Amino acid sequence: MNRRIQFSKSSSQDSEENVLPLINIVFLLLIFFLWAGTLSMPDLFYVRPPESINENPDVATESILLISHDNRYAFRNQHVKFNDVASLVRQSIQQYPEQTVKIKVDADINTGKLIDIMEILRDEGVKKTVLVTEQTN
Amino acid sequence: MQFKKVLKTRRLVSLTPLIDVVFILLIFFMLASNFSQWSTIDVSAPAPSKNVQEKMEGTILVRISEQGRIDVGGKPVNIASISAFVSKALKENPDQKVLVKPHENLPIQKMVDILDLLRDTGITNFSIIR
Repeated sequence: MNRRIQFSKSSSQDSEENVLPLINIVFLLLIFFLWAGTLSMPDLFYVRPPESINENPDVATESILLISHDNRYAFRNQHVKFNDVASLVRQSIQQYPEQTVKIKVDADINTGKLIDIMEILRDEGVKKTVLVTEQTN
Repeated sequence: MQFKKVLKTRRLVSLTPLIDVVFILLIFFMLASNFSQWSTIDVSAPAPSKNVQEKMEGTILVRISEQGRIDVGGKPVNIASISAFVSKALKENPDQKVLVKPHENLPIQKMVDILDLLRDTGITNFSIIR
């Protein structure tokens, strides 16, 4: 009587073959996140900018003025009080006279506050001020 | 004399550390990546004028009330027809600058919505004033 002996693959080889589809998916996810996402420094506090359909590209500058809905201010990644904004902007303008200042404000704050800041920046010699918006389709 | 053939079996590199590293990288990029697309609107404040008349000469004034009602040059305008109204005024005099005067209690989002409407008609030369 002929008996056929079946040799099975080693269990470790089996388990490695089983995880190959998983590795493929994980690699694809990794490539997606590398390609589609952008890495940036988180803001000092959460600000939800207004939404806009405008497509003007974002400006690369370190002079970002954050204004939260609960009246917290930050300039160049540093917490500031409203009364100190002017002096900090002045110091910054002395160092980089041609800089553009980006204002990132919460969508809920009043326009009056934005205009106050715009006027402070103008009076301190900022030549270009832009408002950050979140692009929507 | 016969020597036994030594069978060379290729030893596979273990995939487990690779998977670990890839998983850690994946988690890092998932947490740190930002998918928001930012855009910008030029809001440089205009140079202060000596008097109101000088400020208003050769301009189209768009006022936005606290409730979001709009008037252009003193005439109330429907939000849907603002683009047509302003572009008609600009056709008559293309050198005019658009001044947007929002109520100080108007939320920024509402002002940005109206600026978007103005930009739809190709108006890029506008200033926000108090």
